[in-house]
Amino acid sequence: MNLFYFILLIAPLCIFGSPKSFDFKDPKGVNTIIFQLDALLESINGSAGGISGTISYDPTKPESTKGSIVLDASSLRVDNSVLQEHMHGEGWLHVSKFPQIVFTLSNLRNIKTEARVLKATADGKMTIRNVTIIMEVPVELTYLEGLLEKRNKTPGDLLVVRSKFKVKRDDFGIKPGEYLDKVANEIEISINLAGAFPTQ
Amino acid sequence: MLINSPTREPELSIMVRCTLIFLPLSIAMFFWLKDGARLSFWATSEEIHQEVPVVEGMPELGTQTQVIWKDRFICGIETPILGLTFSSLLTLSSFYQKRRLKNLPH
Repeated sequence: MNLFYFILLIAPLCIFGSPKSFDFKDPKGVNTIIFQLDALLESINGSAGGISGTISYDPTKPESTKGSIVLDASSLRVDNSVLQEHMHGEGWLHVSKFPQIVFTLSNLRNIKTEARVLKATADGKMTIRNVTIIMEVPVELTYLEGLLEKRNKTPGDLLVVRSKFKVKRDDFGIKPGEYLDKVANEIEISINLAGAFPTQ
Repeated sequence: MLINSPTREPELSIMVRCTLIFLPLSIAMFFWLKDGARLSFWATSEEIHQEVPVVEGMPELGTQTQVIWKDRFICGIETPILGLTFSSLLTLSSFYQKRRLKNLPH
């Protein structure tokens, strides 16, 4: 009987304190990752829209934020079709063999809050072509409670994740040291994603 | 009369020759500049960035960049290079033609 009362007492705390799982598969198709490579002879710009994954976020405990963002490698697009074919090909990203690019977030630290925006450093792991490296990425999170209805016509909350960081292709074994004059080693990645937590 | 004038005819021919020589380069430069003078190679599609509010009608809550791809051909650095190559070839052929005509027995 004591256990019953204990559960009854704890249950509301568990409901209010539990993290919310935000889904980043955007039915509106706005979620995009933008990338840029600025080499000596050529600058390559592109984007990717095949984003999915979930992030579990608790507004009362943002440091324990975790989850993963998955990018469909075949959705990476550049403005030249021949270049895109090469990029997807065996020598570069080999999308048929490695169809996903994954960033796994393990926690947040150095958290600072400015108005609605939470700025932090995200610790995580980036996997490209089956090579995983540990990374720390600056992130900005905006938690918009109850505003999913205005975006997706479904009651719930929104979590906007923004970040700008650089990765090096040679860290992932993508033609290390080759074609550096045309394809830069450093890839600047800019993400601006909205995740949904529907309450119904 | 222009036809009967012995000095006017070669001048006009030089002008036409020069125009024809510089025509490929001029056309190439026109299209290259019109497409934004890209220093990289040609493109088969164009990336258009649009700022969309995260929540419709509430841009104060932040925006997201939506990327729209439009299929269209955009000239790259190869266009003026091709134009220059054609113009150079025409210059060379014109030069050799002139030399050949000069060497013809009268």
